[in-house]
Amino acid sequence: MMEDVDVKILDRDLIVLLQQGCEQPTDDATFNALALRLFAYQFACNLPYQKYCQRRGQTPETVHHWHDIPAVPIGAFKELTLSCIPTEQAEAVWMSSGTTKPERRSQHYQARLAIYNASMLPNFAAHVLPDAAELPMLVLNPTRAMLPHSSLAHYLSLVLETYGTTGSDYFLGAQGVETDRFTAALLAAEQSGSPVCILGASFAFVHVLDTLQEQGRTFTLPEGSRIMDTGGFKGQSRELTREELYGLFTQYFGIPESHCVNMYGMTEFSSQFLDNTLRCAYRGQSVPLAKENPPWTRTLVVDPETLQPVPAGTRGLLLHHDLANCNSVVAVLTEDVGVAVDGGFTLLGRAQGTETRGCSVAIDEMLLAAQR
Amino acid sequence: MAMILAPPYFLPGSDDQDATFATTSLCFEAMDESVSLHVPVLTPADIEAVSQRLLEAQARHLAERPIMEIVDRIDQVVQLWLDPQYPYRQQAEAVLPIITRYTVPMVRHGLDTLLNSFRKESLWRLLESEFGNPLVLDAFQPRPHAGGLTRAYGPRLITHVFSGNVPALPAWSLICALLTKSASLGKSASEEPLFAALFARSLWDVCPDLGSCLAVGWWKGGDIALERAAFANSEAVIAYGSETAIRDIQPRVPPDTQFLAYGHKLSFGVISRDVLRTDNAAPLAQQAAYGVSVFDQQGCVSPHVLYVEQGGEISPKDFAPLLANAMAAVHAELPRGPLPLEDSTAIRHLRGTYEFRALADDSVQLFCSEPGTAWTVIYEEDEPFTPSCLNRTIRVHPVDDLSDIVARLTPVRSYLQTAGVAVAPSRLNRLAEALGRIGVTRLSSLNQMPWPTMTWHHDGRCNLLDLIRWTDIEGDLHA
Repeated sequence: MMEDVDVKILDRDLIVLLQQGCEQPTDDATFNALALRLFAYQFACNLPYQKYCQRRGQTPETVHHWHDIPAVPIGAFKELTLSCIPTEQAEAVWMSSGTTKPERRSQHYQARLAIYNASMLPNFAAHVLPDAAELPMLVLNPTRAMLPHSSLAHYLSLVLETYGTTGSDYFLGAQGVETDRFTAALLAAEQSGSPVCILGASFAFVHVLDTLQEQGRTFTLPEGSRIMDTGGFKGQSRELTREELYGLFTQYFGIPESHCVNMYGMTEFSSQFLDNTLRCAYRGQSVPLAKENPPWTRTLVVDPETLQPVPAGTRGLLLHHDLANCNSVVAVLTEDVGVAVDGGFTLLGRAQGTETRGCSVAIDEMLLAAQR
Repeated sequence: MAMILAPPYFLPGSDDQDATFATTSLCFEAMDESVSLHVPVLTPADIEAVSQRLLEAQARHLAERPIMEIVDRIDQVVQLWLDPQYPYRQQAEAVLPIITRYTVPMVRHGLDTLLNSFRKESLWRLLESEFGNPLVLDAFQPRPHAGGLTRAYGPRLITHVFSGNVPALPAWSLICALLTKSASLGKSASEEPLFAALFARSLWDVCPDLGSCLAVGWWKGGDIALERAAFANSEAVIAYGSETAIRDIQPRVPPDTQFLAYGHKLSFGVISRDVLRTDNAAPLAQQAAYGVSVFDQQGCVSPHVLYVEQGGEISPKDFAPLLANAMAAVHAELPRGPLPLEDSTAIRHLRGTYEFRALADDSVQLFCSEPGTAWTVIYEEDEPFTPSCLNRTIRVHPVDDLSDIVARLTPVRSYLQTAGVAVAPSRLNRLAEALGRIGVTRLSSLNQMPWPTMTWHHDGRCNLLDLIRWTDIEGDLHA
């Protein structure tokens, strides 16, 4: 075990790094040093992770570069508790919204919300408020109080509390999206000429767009208005591509694609990865769409067969190293496919098992049959 | 880039050099090699023309040809294919590994074993097992026990919708059609469009008359206009594929056309306590490992799980590491192929899940190849039937008694197919009764799981009789 005082110093150094914000990249030596210290801490205090590393012969004595810190597959968070502190001391626990097996939901214990918040806020500001705009935050999501274990609810509440000006509000309650109240807010913005920021899960936007389509209503929100959406459409009745969704944002809200930012975040991480669109538009840069790594993260694109990085420009699995994951594990292997780019990656979606080859029965087909 | 000798389609009557077809390319990549197959873009009018030619060829060359001679001709083709120097065989061995991602040793072993089962003796045994007297296919024959005479007629034309998981399997469907004196229009699978065409070409080379009764082309599955055109002239449609693919095809088959569907199936292994002896466990593990590994577990006949009974000299938990050793040994001899990103991701995450589960739960064990994903053995108690993510990923579940298996399988009973079994002879019948009742259509040894005999009632049905229409002459007329 590590001494309490060492943990406090580690915590303090991490906060210092996070507070430097997104403008300055972290040099690799700094990142490496902190990553290795966190690895040593997690190896010492997160016992399942320790066993996992020992089975691979990888310990703080043998690992000298953050590349080599053993990554846990994201499903591990569903299997057992990955926490360096006793869970009852954690300030929050994020749980995934998995529906198939409630007892097998991801659980991610946050020892100190201050660290989560310190990662989240500058990253949000850099990518959604690069112009330091002060806007009402219109949140298409329930409040934190309604969903205490949702990292997204916490995220959006924190955005609203930190950056939202008068008129900020939540528009998704126990009864679903409160469309009337929401469209009234849009109308008010349109009439006042003051831009707004709309935030929420992608499927909540789809619900609103469906209603607007039924009503035949469109808005031209004032210039400077913007949207941050997150998440896919898991388990939802409709699937839209990014192009389709952002096309509808332009059509129904009058918000150009340059002002639409997708946030890629997961229960199992304490940092998020946001599109470079608005940040680049503000700087007048024209660069291809990508998710940016905040300076306290690194993303490796690896071959799932070898777990080694793939050649530049090749598709692979995203393996994120997130220093803000200080209470669980720094390195997590996702099921998401992407391609590395300078300073970030492009996200190509979830690796879906190929159905074309095997003479097998897809699980959903089986479930259908079981219901017959 | 592999050399292409013969084009991956066979449309007799439309000359290969015929410039009237536009072509499209099907591209495949594996192990840093790539291949592009150029196939004609067919129109409904092309399909109609090909079908008419096939119907004419069937009437001229097949309908009156003695069954014995048909069997001989097929045997000649199969013999050619068994020769490693045969150009089409060489082409298949060079190109199939890139198309199918099976390794060269796997392709060779698979072709040899499957083609050997298509030899004359097997074909004749199949005919006898289904018809009794196969000469009913040539002329009216006396009906034993029933009196009178009878004659069997196959469809004049069958459309086959092939799947791509096991190369050489389309040949089996074409052979069954020939044995009923039916012409065949094959729609090759996007995943493996080559073999069926090569096989048809070799029949043409051996016997152009018979060869003119086969045609193989490609179109993208689900093309309504092309499938309607194909089915309109066919008296039977045989489709292989996923439930979704089959649900898609079915409504396009005209009501008076016979539709035989071979959907995806689930297979499993069973090992009883009486055979789990110290001297026997390792060989059983080898057999099971072989059954799992052939065609990288992509066949309907490939086991998803093994049920191992408690109480033998070797416990199920001790059997799992033996199986792991055997999986490694099979991989050394018949290596697993390279996987697409999605498939290795599935294995990687399954392993990750079980590795962590095992840390907290002694009843779970994980054994796997390193550093790659070549094989994975999971030992796990009390789990409901969970399909494998395949590519040599197998779960071992202990059961207190063989009779417990039925309850485990009941949720997936409509998909059950092969049970590979190793049990004491005295317990076989009881097990077979129980498994038969819930839908299993084949019990074999673990070793033979990948290779059903030709006479197997495929998915519980007759291979040939299901295609046959009978004409009877009643006894009083002929007396």
